[in-house]
Amino acid sequence: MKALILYSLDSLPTTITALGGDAIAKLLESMGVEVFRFDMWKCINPLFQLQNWINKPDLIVYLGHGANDRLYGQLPLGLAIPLVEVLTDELLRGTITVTYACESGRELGPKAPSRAYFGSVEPYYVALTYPSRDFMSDFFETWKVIPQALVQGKTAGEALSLYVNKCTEYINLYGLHLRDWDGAEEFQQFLTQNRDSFKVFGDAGAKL
Amino acid sequence: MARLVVHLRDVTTGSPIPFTAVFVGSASAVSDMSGNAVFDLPPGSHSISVRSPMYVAAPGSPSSVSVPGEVTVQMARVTL
Repeated sequence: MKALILYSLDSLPTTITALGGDAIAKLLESMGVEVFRFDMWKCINPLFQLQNWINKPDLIVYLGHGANDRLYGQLPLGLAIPLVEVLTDELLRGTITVTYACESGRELGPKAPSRAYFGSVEPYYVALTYPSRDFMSDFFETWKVIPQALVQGKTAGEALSLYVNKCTEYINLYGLHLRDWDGAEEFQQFLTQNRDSFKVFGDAGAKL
Repeated sequence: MARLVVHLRDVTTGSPIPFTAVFVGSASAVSDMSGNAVFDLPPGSHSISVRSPMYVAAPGSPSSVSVPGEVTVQMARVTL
């Protein structure tokens, strides 16, 4: 099984998703998956195309900036030539694609020829580490759930349910600490959006 | 009454953050194009919080302010 983990590093939010991408890559490697990491300047369309031609992955995980019809990849190149967009979405054909990015579930997700495409239909949030609580690590735990479940043989639909459950677990936990964890209220709201706006398109029964 | 000026700034770029709700005590205001929110309040210490769909106050940001005065709140963008 081959996984391609793509993550950019060009802003504060992508500094955080880069750490999350690294955590996902390490998790999948520990599960025996052959992992290719395309980070920072490697997270660009020409190298993505080359990788697909040479060694097409079964699973793609992208973390970074997105919009309704595209995943940008590394900026500034990604502004001119997105990592993948509706016009180049053949790059995703036959894969299970997991995206932690803003809004790509609005247009790219429904149109993509992926077997299954996970994405958000709204802005997607990262979290920070506060003195009272490491919200960033909590969000990483939610991001690990879908790739891990897929590698374990779960269907796309089952993986989404597990992601929803993990988000809910933290949303409820933050609710118990609204007074004593600075930031708990904000990150409760943000994680609620990450949960409720995250969808799977294509075949919910798809497995790796 | 005394004046409090709150400056909202992006912690990464230093740029001002406009059109964002700032709450000081029981009063609220929205930051202008320059990222500033102005309050006229009773002198003393007041709680402060900021609500934005794109930003959170960076860790270590003040939770209270003194009036009269001026304070800068560093905000971290959290949307992708």
